[in-house]
Amino acid sequence: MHRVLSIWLPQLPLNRLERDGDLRLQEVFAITAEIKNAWRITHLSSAAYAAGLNAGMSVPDARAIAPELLTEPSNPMRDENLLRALWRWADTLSPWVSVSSPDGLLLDITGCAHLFGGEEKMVEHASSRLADMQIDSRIAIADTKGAAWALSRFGRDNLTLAPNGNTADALEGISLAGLNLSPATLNDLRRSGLNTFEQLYAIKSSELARRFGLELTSALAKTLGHSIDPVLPKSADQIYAARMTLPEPIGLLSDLQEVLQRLAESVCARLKKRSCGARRFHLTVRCVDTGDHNLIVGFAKPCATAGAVIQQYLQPLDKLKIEFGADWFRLEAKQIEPVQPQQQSLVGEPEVSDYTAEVISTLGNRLGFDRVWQFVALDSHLPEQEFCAVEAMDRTDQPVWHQAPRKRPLRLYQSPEILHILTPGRPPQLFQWRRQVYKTLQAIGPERLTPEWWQNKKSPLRDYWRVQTESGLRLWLLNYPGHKKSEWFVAGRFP
Amino acid sequence: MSYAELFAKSNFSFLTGASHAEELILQASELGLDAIAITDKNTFAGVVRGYAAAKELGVKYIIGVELVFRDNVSILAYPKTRQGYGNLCRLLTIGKRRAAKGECHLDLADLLEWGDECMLIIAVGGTAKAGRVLGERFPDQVYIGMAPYYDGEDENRFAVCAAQAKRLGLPIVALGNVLMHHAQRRRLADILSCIREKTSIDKLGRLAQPNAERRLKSEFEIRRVFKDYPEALQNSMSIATSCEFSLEQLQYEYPDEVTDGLPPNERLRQLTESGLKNRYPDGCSLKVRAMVEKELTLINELNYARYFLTVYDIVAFARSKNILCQGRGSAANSVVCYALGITEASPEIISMVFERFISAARNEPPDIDVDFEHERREEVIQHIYQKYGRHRAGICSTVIHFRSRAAIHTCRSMLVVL
Repeated sequence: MHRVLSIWLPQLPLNRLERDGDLRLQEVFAITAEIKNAWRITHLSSAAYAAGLNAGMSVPDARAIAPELLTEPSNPMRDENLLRALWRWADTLSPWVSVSSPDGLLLDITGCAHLFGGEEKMVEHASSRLADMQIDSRIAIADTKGAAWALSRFGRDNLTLAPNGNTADALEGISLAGLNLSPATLNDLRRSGLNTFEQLYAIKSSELARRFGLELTSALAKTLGHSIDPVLPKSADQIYAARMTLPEPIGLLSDLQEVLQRLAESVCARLKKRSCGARRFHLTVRCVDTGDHNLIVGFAKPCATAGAVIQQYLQPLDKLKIEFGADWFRLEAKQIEPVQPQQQSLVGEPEVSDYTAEVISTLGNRLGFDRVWQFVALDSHLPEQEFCAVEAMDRTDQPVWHQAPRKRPLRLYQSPEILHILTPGRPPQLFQWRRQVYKTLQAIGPERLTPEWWQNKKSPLRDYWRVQTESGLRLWLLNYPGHKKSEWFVAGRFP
Repeated sequence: MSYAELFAKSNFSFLTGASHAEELILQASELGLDAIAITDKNTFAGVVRGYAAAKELGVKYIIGVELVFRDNVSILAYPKTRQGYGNLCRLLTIGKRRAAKGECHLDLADLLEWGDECMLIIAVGGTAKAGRVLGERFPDQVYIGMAPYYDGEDENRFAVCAAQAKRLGLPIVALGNVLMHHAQRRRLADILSCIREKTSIDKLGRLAQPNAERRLKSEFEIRRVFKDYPEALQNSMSIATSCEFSLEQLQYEYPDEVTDGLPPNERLRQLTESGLKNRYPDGCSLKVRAMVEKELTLINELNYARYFLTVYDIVAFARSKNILCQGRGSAANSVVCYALGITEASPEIISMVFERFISAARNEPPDIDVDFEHERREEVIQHIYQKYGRHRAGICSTVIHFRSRAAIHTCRSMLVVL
């Protein structure tokens, strides 16, 4: 017979803040979340309970009762992180642990309890260990997952042990909310006057199924152990790392490279097997005298080739000062991303047509990735918003440059430069720019651009003209038609 | 010289045009344009609204349509006569029946077949091929349109159009390429583009309107755009004057199948008399008799007998198959309808005036609503198809549109307001 231990962490978000030393917990404090377009309280401090607040209350209602209420929106991500940390900790109780989001753990403890001196001792141990970590918990052990889940949440005591082989009796008096049904079904049950487990025992399963659907009967069968409902452990993220310890410290660059070669080959082989690549590699070199040195290299494209890793490490290793040698090495791949397999040529070396990623990787590792930038195309009519520069490392694929639908100058001046008009016109017939006089031969335009009205920035209407000057220079002239003063600017020049 | 706007889209070009037909007509009248055509994409759905507004304001209104072909060639067509209008309606029906709902699949060959009695303007794309083919088939009906896009390249575009027109020996004509009646509508046009492209305003990019120039323009403004092509403006007027078709020329045409070989009026009288005998087995009162005479005279005068007979035919069919049906609405005021069995309420107990149903002053046929049992409605439809032929019977469609609540909701998601 299986035994399942369920841990419920009712105050997980509050405990998280408490562990961070948040002083607001002493006061009237609540965690809120947006539920159906209304901000409602999900968790509250004991002072808030004392003030008469309840979970599920909307925030304005709660403020009306307790104006001094402090609130914080819930942060499910950080709660999840804490829960995952606890999930790793729960390994000490049983190797078979699954997360029951958002605030519980389920452990299959079949054959583990005697290691702690019996189930009672085990539960006490778990509870006190969690209390040491400043985490409130309610724990129950039962024959099935469903029963343990229900008892931990709706049982009378904080620690509940259901006797082996008698789940149905143990669940007597427990609310049917413990079946973890959909709210609609639960509401139906409540309307029919069915509130606790023992009320269901008397009714035939076929009748229940007809009235409330199979969801209820299958949940009940699982909870009572009539059908199988195993604890499915969530697997940990795969770690791609390799380590090497040497009997004697080494210090020669060629030796270091040899070690790195072996480590990289081992890591990359595993990455390749999973069709993955890493965007970052961490190499830890433990020197006998100066301790650990961490060397990090990055890649613009996910990499799973040992040769490339070694290539990028050549310079950092060269710079590393090793006086008395190093005897412990560890290489870990981080930021694992999937790699699309590429068509290889049938003969000879595979052809690589695009070296951009390699250039970015090499430059980034030498200069720092925050210094390697790349232009990307944006979609806008306004010339200054048609492109922007981003850190090259942030891009996974090559930017796509479509032919702009309008003719744009190769060189665009960041701030348009004003002209001195000698003979007016539209555009000016004769003008002076950068101390030189130009005569307009031909002008094409105007291209009128209005500001993007959904942006908050107020910018005027613009007219752009392509102007061919007598001296051969082709300029992009700009005029703001709404303005009183008819000023003209050079916005850019064509090649 | 004067100018007629021949290329304007109303909101019946769904999610493209940003103004109602009425607004375009009103603005055209305020700008003093000589004539305006509303050319929606592959549909005549907007013409009635435009016609009604133009009639009220006294603007010359030209019926038109933008035919967008499968290879994205866009040709504007304006019926010159009643025949031309019929041809274009046929053409659109053919195109729509080929395609899924909301689309229209047309090819140039279809236009060659149905393009008689129309003025045609080749507006966008494929000028050389379409111009050659259409020019040969419809001499003196085809123009090359010059539509500005206000992107700084219009001069080049016009020059290309003019050169091509010269080579093909076709005249050129100025088009306004109008999407909105007023520059303020640019925001709405952008929101519509968002809905069409299923994106939000910040991701719309170059699909947004670069400026608000695709609005209805006055003659002065348009003259500046086409300053090098005065003949293009002149031609717009000559097209406008040659399109004499107006919706007024459309008449109701009732089927002849229902008269049973007799003149329709006699047939109606015969049926009414026998109906009266059924309704009043003891003979009808003088009042009813007088009402019947009055109605029949009016029906004769307005030539609606065949219309009544058609409705009678459908109701009689439904009754013979035991399909429940019931006439309702203002038809209940008519003794003739009561006698024919279309309505059940005796007009003596209803005190509404008969003139609400038909009157000589109203100049439109009365509407007789008949409801059928919904589960057997299909049988009635099939009967109509069988008797009158599928090509002469159709199901009316309606155009649904945004109401304020849905419009606000949609705008909110397009503007990414949280």
